[in-house]
Amino acid sequence: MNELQGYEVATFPFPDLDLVGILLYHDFPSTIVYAEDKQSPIIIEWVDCADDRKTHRYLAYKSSIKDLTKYIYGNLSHYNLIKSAADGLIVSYDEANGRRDNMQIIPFSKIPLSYLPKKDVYFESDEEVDLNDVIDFFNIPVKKNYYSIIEKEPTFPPSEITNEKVAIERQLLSEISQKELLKVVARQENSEVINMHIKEGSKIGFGTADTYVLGRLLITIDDLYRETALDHEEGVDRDNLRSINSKRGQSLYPRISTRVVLAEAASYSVFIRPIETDETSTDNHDHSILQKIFSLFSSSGDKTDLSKSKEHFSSYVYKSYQEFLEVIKLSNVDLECNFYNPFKEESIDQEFEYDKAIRLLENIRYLTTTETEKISLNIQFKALNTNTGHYTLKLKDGKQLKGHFDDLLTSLIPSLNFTDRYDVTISRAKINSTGSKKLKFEDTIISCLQSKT
Amino acid sequence: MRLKPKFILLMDFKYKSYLDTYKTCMISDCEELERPAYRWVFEDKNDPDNFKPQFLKSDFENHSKKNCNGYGLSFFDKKIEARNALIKRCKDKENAYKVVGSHIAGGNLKKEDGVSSKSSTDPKNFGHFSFFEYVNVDLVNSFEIVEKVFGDE
Repeated sequence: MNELQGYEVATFPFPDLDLVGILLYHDFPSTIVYAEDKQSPIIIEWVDCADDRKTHRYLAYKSSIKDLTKYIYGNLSHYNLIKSAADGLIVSYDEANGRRDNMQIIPFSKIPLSYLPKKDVYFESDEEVDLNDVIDFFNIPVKKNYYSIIEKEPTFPPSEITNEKVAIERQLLSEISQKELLKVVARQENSEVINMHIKEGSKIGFGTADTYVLGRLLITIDDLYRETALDHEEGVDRDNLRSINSKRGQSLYPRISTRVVLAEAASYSVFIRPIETDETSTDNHDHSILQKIFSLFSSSGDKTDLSKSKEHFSSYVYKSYQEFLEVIKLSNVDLECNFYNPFKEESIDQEFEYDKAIRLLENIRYLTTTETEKISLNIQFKALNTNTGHYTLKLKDGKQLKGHFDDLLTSLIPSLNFTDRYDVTISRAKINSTGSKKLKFEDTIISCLQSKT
Repeated sequence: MRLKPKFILLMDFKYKSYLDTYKTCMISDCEELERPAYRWVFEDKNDPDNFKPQFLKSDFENHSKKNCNGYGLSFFDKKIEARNALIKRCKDKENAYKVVGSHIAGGNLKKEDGVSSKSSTDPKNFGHFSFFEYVNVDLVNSFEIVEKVFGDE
């Protein structure tokens, strides 16, 4: 039998199953339907056996009545029935003498092809064994009423988009949830892991994601990790890391970068871990880098909390968070980030969707602080723009300043000249923008009188 | 078992005790026939599962056995029909040959061996028929392996 590359689990995730019936075949029970309750079909697929035919291998997965119905009525291939497993999660196990062994959660993408039906295989009723028991148990409508239970008549074979909606509904019902898989993956990786779970979006399908969206989400969340990790390494007063290829970037790389360890159909989930385990994630005192990121997620929902967070993060972190939110907004995706620390057994969840991303972006922009001061100067104008109100002036020491006239004074500009000196009052705004360490100055002339001397 | 058989039952069926538990059974439509027959078997001609009805295998142990067919043996009229059906079966479960048989055995069924159903005319299962053995019949020696369909080279 093939070596499987799943994630070992100690207990069978479907402990209380009632046998409903054998769906296929007369010659050997290969597709067997069980139930957790009237709404939750659990399907067990025989897939392989040892040469002595005493140890058999099975795949078990939770399906939905909709998918089971579509399969029975020939509108969903056997391949897609398995692929559409709730949460995209499938459990493999070996059974000999009634004892289950070698239990693993196996992502669909890692199931050996020899364990999957060919894509053009559909249910054939002449091969059924206990079909009526299955239909009766789950109250599956007779074929003529079949289309009343699905949103629309499916194409043949059914589109992935239809599956996507069904999959999202299943998320809420599934016992083996993405969060459970996250725990298994984190333990396997021996590291904190986040599941960036893209739940819905026009460019997201069940098991598919447009590179444009997925790529940007991955880059921006990696950037957010990098900036937060750099704060952790060097303090919030650090300089910008201009390039990961710099000597400094290369020496820090494993400690400030993330790695994708698993991608799953659900609609699309990416499991990400720090390349190098953050030491603080294993002790019980400090917040790890990922925990800090989630605390930023949390505090960004409230302007006051966000302002308080400024002492913990550099402006680069806010800037990268802003870019992450911009991708969510522009791509219009619903995203859920789930965090799990296997050392402390801590979980944190954070949801993002379009409206929330806009609100959080506004909150971050609120962090931009402005202080104003008034300055009185004796100057000479070097350039004046009567249309835009902008000016360039020259101080006595030869230094030049640029700015613009207050709206109320723009009518004054045509009467000014470049030879006389003027006493001006300038309102100087010092702006500390999010994501920038440098103060930005904006000068506005609010009074201007020809100098008497 | 209430039968209106198309044959005079002089012999008991091999699995009579099981068949008797069914109120209706396809045996009533079966006939004693001389006919060539082909069946999926394992590489070892003497494998004990080669001519064992499905319901007597441990695989069906915990399952309800709703009709009597499972106490019969599946055959095909022609070798190519048996071969095509096995290949089709393995499109759904690629390793199915490991449990249903990887080779084709061919031979002749005689009237004294048992009764057989009509051959299927359904294109999906063309040439398939069920066969119910009489007691003391052992088909192993009446059949020879005639083709390997799956398995190691």
